[in-house]
Amino acid sequence: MASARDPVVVGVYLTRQARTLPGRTSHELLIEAVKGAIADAGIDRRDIDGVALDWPGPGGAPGDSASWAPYFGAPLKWVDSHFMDTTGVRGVLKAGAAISAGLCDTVVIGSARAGPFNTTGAAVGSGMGLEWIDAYGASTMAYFALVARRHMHQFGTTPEQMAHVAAVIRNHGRTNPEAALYGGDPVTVGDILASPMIADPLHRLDCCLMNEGGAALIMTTAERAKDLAAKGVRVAGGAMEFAQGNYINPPLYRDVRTLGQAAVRRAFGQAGLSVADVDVFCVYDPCSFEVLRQFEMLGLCGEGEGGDFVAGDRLTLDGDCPTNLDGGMLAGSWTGTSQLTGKVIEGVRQIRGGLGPRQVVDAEVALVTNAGSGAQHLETLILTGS
Amino acid sequence: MADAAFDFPVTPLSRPYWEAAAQGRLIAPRCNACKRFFFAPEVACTHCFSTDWTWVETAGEGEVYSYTTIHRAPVPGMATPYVLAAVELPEGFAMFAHLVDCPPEALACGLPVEVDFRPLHDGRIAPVFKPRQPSV
Repeated sequence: MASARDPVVVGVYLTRQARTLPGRTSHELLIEAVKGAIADAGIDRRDIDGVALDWPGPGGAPGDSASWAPYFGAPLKWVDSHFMDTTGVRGVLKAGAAISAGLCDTVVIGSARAGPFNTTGAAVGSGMGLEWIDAYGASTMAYFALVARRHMHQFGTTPEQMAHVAAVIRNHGRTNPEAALYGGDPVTVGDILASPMIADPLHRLDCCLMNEGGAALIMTTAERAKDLAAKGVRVAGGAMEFAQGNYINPPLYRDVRTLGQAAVRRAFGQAGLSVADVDVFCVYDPCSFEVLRQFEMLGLCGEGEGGDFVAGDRLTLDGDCPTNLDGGMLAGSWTGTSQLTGKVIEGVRQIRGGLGPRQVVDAEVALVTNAGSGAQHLETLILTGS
Repeated sequence: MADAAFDFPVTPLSRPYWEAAAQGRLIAPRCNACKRFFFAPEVACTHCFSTDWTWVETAGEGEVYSYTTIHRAPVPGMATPYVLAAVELPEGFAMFAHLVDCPPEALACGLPVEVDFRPLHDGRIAPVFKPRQPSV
């Protein structure tokens, strides 16, 4: 039942996303994102009484969201500082719960990164002091590769099927001026398969980007959203699922399988909708395989049938599952954490409408997922027009 | 958490594992309450939450559950390619390990393997697995 305190996303902003952003700092980039989201929402910055933002510094109390208090409606009523809670679906769900509970009314969520993800040249997921990963030379892509390989073994999924996913999403990014890989020639399955192998069966172009950029969004109550000029997008449902801590043990496909399905079921239950109602898919795409797995997880095809399901034009604007039309993380942006918010922002924008060539006509329901590390976790949102 | 005896990070939890590996033994935590193995080592058994467990030597055999050949070194300085596997042990747990002495065409999910011990990139001796030789 709709309530006046239901959480609504009322403002979103993406900074420029690019391989590098010379001259920028993470902190100043995040300020740009925050100011942009505030302007998009049409609120005064002093309206903000809840904060889930990184604090990259310099200055302030390192990593403490309360450092933002002077800029907003101090004293703040709610903060969250963990780097996985200041972004994306987790950020939206926790802020939404705080808003619904009456702890605060208007929350800003966001993160940004300028400069390299790490200075050692280590791959993501390695070199971070995680003993069992570092010892054996694993990484995030190795995690996904172990799951993908087992899926190939059990179901006959092919590198070509995975490469097709990567090609489709990369071509979406090619035509989105905001994507880090905007422009250039169409990407083919052959291009993906010809790119250097990273962790067999995943080629470089099966894997998402590493670039710089930031993102922020504003949420408030349904009641306040009514008074704002910008169209609000309702968080109609959402849920999280965690299998184990990341980066300890190898991901086993038999554990991963359809991880996230219970969360998705709960989220659709809250929204009073089903996957058949989804107009736009904003799914986490750290690698081609994980997209394929998520369609199995969503129940749109049977376990092991993802490779066939994603074939052809299905994931394009003209298909029945328009997916990552902004280029996702394969061609749009991956910065470490702000891409998690980026998934939400694309869903919000599609429901608001007016996205031009990539707009899904009359989009009313967006499914957003965040996930990671061989699918040790999955978080989901169902976004709808207010 | 550098340790005087090693020039790589170990923790109080993992130290016996690496010491045993240096002696050519693959050990794993086994719970004294529920009698089950678990891995990686944790303060409490991941099956029953008991903190009463002991390191026990395994038989050193297993099966490859999945594998990936790594071509992009996760950390600068690591030689590539190498094969990272998820190995299942009959004791009832799975672990990361490198797969060695295995020609690419023989790599397969379900491959029977046995433990051996080789130096890692940082010099420590680690349990690795190689294709199991048929018993004579």
